[in-house]
Amino acid sequence: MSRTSLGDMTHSFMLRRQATDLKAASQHLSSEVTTGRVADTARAVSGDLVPLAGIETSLTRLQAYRSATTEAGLFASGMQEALGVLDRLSGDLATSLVTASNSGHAAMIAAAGADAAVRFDAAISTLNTRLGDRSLFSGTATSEPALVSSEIILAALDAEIAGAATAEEAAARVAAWFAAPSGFAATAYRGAGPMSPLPVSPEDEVRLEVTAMDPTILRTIEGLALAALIDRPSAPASNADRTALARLAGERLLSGQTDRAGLAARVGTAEARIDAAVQRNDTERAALELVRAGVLSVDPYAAASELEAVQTQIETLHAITARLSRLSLVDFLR
Amino acid sequence: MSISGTVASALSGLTAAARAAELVSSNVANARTEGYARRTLEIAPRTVGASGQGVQVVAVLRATDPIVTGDRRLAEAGAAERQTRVDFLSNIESLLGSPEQAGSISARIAAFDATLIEAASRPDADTRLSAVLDSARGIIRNLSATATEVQRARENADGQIGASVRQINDALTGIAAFNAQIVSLSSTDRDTSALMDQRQRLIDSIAPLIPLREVERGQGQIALYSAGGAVLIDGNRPAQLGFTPAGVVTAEMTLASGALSGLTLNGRSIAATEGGPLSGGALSAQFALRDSVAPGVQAQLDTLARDLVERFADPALDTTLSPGNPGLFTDLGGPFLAANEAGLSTRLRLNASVDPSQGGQLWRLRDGVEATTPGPTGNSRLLVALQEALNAPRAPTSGGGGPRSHSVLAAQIASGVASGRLSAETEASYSTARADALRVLELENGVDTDRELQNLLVIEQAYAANARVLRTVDEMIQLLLGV
Repeated sequence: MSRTSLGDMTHSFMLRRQATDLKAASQHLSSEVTTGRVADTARAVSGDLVPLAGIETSLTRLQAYRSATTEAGLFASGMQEALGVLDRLSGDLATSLVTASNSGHAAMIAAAGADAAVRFDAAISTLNTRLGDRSLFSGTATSEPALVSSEIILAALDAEIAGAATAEEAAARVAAWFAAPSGFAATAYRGAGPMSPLPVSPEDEVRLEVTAMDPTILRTIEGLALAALIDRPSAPASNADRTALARLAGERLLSGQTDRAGLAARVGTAEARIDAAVQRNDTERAALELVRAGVLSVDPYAAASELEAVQTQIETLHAITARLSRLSLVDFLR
Repeated sequence: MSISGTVASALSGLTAAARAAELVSSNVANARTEGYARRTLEIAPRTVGASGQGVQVVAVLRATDPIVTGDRRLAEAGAAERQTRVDFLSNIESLLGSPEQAGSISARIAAFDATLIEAASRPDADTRLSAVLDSARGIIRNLSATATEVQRARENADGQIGASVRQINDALTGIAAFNAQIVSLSSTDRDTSALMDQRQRLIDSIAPLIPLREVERGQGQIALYSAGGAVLIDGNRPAQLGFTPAGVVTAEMTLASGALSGLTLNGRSIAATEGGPLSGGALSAQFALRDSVAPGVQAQLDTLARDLVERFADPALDTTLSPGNPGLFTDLGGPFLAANEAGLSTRLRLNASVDPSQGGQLWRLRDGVEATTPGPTGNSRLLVALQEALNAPRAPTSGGGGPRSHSVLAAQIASGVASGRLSAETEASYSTARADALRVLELENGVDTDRELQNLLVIEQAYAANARVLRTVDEMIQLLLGV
């Protein structure tokens, strides 16, 4: 097409248009360079946000599991600690009870009984430990201490064994009281059923369902209580009966040792599972962050050099605009 | 006789040069006026009897290219149509947000999920429970803000249609008036270029709204048709478009229900969208937005809201719930009924029984929405179950599709909007580029001041030459008179 003229507005329109395009491009690129992230996420993933949403959701969830695992870990180690204390209290006492009963010496038995009363009280407070405002052994009723005070338990047992002729009968009554739903469970236990499993990762949950009603713990408390009764007026008064009571209590405590170790192992397994979950969650988070960076981050060198190129273009355009506006016949007709 | 003939010829030359200079001045003055068509002078030898005598001005021509102009108008209509779509979709996309942004729907659902996990870890902590409530409110806020914006966009489109219809009717009336004026002026041989420029500007003003075809009708008149074949103006009879704006638009109001107005042409109802006689421009794009694109997005938001409500309204999940009563999420406080799905996303509320700000109790999050007394504080069963219910694969009741978690459903809806925006953007940038290219072609035909100045030099020379002729003739006559 042969042209004899080219309208004035052609230039200005084209220059304006190009300037707008270049400015938009430079704005887009400078945002990418400064933030290090793609300016238009939807374009970067070709409009399919589902995988990215999956990554982001998982990362948020893993963050939540981080506090869940920290708290579960704390809870489990609190339990482990308490079980350790319980085991030490009863293990030491068992030995001294057996020694005293072997000697049959009234003063030694009385001393063991007094020691037992102190230890029984310590055991009850251990089971009532609160960690971060939660009771460890009261199941879901975390706001309540697991057990009533040792004095109330002993008073209940006093009434229970009153009038028992022999140590064996007293021990049997104590055992029955601990086993009966109307006995220990109704009088002493203030907690509720065991806690539900705690989720510690998207796939894993940990069971921390040990309560003060756990048979092993129950048996240990029973042994301690029996020993603590030695020194109380309600127990059969004869030295032989008290010796027998000490022996029975010592045997009960000794026989519970294996079970206590088993219980500690159960809690230990839970702790290990929590640790493993923490590891897995961290690995998963690191992997997801890498994938997300691959989707969302821009190559800073590529973006910076593109920005440089656009800047050069804008400068060229400005130079051309200035030149062209001076190129008019008017200026030469003098 | 021949000397006076010479004078007459020289005079005609002076007149033609003066006329040409006038056009040059007009052209230069309008070098930057949009819609101004460059004028040129058509001149021819004047004949008196059989012999030539001087020059005559035949006509003032407007330098236009009807084909380029027509194409440019069609391209502008197409670009305006697509841009309308892009604007709406990118607005909704930014409200739904992309998953890495904290306020996006995906991030809000993820936060709800995370606060449930944290609350299950410490069900006794009130702060954890109120964090669950806050994040649930976050989902509601995002959904209702987006849905409100969808309805606002429909309302806006409805108002825009009203304004466009008024503008088109005014422009058509104006064009008809210009047609009539041009006919009467051209029959008396007067210059109609200025009127034609103004008519052209009127046509250009409505070109983005309806794709137009302009047809010459002789004597400077034009007829206008829409690309879809509707007669908009022929001679001096303009067509009349009819439309009644609704004012306020809510999710329940549709064209089908009769609550929203359709489009009429000369009193007859016509299809306004795709395939209709006026489709292809911003007008039909606004109709499409109001009647199909925005309601489509609204339906998806409602699907999402319904999925959320139904996931938590299951008595098997929360055993305190009596069947038929609302769960954690409610429809304005009451149970959700399938018949009320339209607009649910704007009416989503938290159940008052768990919300302390509505007189509820936080512990009901842990013990059940309809629990009467607080249970053990360490009970995490329900919180764990809620978190599982949020993520369990479940086929949404409405909207179709297979089983998926709530967050995937939300991400799919956001993806739908985002990919719609991307493809509309690609199309819009193509049609804008095309409209721009045609505009450049049209502008090339406009006033070129350099050329006008060159012409002015030639005109100056011609004027001087004719003046010289007159002076010489004058000297010749003086000679005769001096004899």
